[in-house]
Amino acid sequence: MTQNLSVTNGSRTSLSVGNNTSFGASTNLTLSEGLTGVSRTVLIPSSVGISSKIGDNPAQQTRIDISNLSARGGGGSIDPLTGKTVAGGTINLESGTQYASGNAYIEGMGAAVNLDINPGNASARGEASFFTTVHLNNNQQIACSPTNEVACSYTVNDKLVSGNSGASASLSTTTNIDINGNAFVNTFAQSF
Amino acid sequence: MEMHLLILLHKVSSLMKFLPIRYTFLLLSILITFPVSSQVIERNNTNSGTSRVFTYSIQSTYGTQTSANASPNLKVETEAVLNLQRGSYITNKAGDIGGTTSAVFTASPGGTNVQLTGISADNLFLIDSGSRFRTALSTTTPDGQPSIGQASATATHTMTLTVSDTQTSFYNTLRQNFEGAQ
Repeated sequence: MTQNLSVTNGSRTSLSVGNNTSFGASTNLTLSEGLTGVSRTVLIPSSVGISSKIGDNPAQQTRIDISNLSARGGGGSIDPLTGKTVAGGTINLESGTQYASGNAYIEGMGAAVNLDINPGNASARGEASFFTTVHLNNNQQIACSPTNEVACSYTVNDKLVSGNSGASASLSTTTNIDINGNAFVNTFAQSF
Repeated sequence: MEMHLLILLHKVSSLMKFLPIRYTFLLLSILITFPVSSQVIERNNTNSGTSRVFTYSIQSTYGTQTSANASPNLKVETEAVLNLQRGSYITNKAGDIGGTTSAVFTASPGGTNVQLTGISADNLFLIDSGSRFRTALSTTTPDGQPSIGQASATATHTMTLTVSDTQTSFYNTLRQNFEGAQ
């Protein structure tokens, strides 16, 4: 007879923190049949400076403190400070949980973006322009933009048409903190 | 033991060809009453140990991205140009000769505290002139179908610090016992 017993236990803790900066141009267009549209965005920065730091102090220390995590629902509330619903280090979410809250304190890391758009800069002319238009198809079957001197002849639609278009430029900076900890016990027994 | 018995029975069957029938039963009874004994051998093998893996890394990325998703009756134009300027730098440090790098995790039911020491990153990107981002969507010749599209041209910069601490201990026991003929 052979018996095999294997027990493995341990813990794993991981931390992932970072800064994410993005900027640029975007457009969208949604038209039903019978419509013509144009959506255009141009973003030309005069200068951009992106700075991102971790351990930004003489001691090169970063401190992250997440506290007072709680979740609240229609049937009551969970407050780890009072310990009412916390047993054995576990937060028991009640049925009907609607939202969660908590505090985060971050020291020693950050990000900064300086985006300058200056049309008057001769050496680096900046531009941020947006153009959108939606109109009925014209009879010439080609793109037609009406002006003071030129009119466009549009087709007649016998049903409802709808259209929208958007043009935008965006700049965003985010800081993400992800802390994950778990303990495990794995037992395997075999006999034959 | 069964193997020995089979061998003996084989020899008996070969002898039976030459013995009269009345002697066969006598011989069989003598053979079966041979004394037989066995022994049990048991072996135990136990291994145990612990391991701990602590890793940390810093990753910086920088670049542009253009994307478009449009119906066939749309004309799509995207352009992203990014020029780096002199003076940009990436400085990521993790650890030093003094061995002062550490990551201390303190977990509680309501949150977690982490303190990093000796791990630092300092990234600065300066964008030069000539950088530009353009996107455009325009309808083409009408084909009687709806027109749907999105397009974007962006520049992105990410800096991510990852710290992982894994502790594992194991205990493995293998026990075997079997019987053998003496």
